[in-house]
Amino acid sequence: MKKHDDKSIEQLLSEMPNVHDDKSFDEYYKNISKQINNQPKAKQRGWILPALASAAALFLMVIVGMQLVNTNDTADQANSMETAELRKEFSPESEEGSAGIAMDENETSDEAKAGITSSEESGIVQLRDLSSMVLTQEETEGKELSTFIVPDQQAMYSVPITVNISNKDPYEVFNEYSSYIQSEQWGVSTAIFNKMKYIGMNKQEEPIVQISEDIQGSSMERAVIEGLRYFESLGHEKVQIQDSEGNAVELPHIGDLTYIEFNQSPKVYKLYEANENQKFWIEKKMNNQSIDEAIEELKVNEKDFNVTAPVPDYINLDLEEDTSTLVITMTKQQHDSSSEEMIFLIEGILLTAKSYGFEKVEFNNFGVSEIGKYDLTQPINVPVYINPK
Amino acid sequence: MKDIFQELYEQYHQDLYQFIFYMVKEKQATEDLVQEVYIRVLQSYDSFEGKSSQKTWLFSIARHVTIDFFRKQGRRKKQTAEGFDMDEHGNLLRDEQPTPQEIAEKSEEIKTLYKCLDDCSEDQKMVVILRYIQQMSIKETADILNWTSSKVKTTQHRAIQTLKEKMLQREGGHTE
Repeated sequence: MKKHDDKSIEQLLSEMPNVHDDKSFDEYYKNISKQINNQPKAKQRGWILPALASAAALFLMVIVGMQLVNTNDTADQANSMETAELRKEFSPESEEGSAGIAMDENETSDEAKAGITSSEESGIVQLRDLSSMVLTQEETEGKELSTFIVPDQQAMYSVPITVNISNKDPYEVFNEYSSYIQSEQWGVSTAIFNKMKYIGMNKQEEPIVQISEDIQGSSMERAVIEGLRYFESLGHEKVQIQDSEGNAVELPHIGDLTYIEFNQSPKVYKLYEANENQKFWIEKKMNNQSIDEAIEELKVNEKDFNVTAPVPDYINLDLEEDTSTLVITMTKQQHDSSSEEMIFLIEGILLTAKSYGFEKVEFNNFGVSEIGKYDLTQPINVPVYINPK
Repeated sequence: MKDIFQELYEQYHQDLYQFIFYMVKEKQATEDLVQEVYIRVLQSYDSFEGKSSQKTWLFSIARHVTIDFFRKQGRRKKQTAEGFDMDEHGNLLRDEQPTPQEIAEKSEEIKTLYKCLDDCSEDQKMVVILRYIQQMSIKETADILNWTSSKVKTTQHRAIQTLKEKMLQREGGHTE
């Protein structure tokens, strides 16, 4: 009996034989054409509506442009509906590299104008930067990122926050949380991370985390378990935990534990304003509830806790599941949503769909073909990272 | 349509067939799934924007189709379980299939490893096939799976550990 090491397994894998198909090109082609021709035509994407919308937008731009030239009042006119709404939801100082002009509650109109003008200059890109609170696969290109799960200051919610760790070892970064999470500024609490320390890997290549003995109360217990999900984003299914003497950790409600396994329970995502101008997606677990129930839950505000529903309750959404794609059709919309509301609506659905195992979401009849970075004429991939900072 | 299909077939058919075969280990199912991939690709070819490479796109679709197959198979097994004695009819597909000739001709170690692939999770199996059998880079694998590179690396590492452990068990005669 030979004992294999990593190298020999890798070598054997690369020597696995090529398996050949004995079905011919013609056989495939015959079957494929037959099936394609027999299928009802794929739903034609409405190019007319987007084209009309683009034409209308162009027309409006020309009209507005002419007005601006005529009145020679660029700064005032720049206060378009969109940017006004944008400011209502998001003050520019909340994002790095955006308009970059700090405004307090008593901002002067001049300051306001300056902020709006800069955001108008960069148009849709500006809007994209200000509003989106997730990262797609393409946006992570060349970045090393890790996601911490921290409680809010009242330990009511779990707030996942993604940070750029450059070339640091992601495991060591867990212990250096304070360099990455600006708890006071962001309105979250990192105290629980003082009670956890990554100390290495066990023989099964699972992370070992030492937990302090003074975990008390269900909130703290939950925050520990959530905090350990940092390792889930690194691809681990469980984490070994131990106390300072290497024994099982006694958690107040669950009892003695040596492992925390990550069960990928479905969640909904809502908007939480921790501090003024600091918005985050927060997670709320959905136990054994269907995706339809989850989407309905996305309409529920929790104002007492500063939590806003990303889906307005006047919107009706029909859901269909097409393998790994969730198809959502808007059937009723009484009011127009602002651009920010639309982006939050889309991202809230994308994040929720991801937690239910969907990989793409198709948005039908949302009234726009493109919003921020999202092309709604195509199914959209669920995001890879959440709340990037 | 024939031109597009021909181009895809000539460039990727062998890799596509092999990826799906190693995932499902069943000739007829592989042929059906490969066909399904081509149908989906051809139906959405007009909307392919070139954000990813054609290869990445094709394999992402192959991955979806394969996962869907496993889901349906899982549902079928569940339904079957209600009416059948699963002990008698267990292991519905994979281990019951004869080993293909190409693999039968290889060394005992390769044959054992081929069986051990079933001990990996679906994610682990996909990574191992893409990385080692298909010789794709970490970046290509990450793009196909819509994962981060670090997740590919971790899953790959765990897959190798699983295979190492299961090889030892099988070669040592400890079958589970």
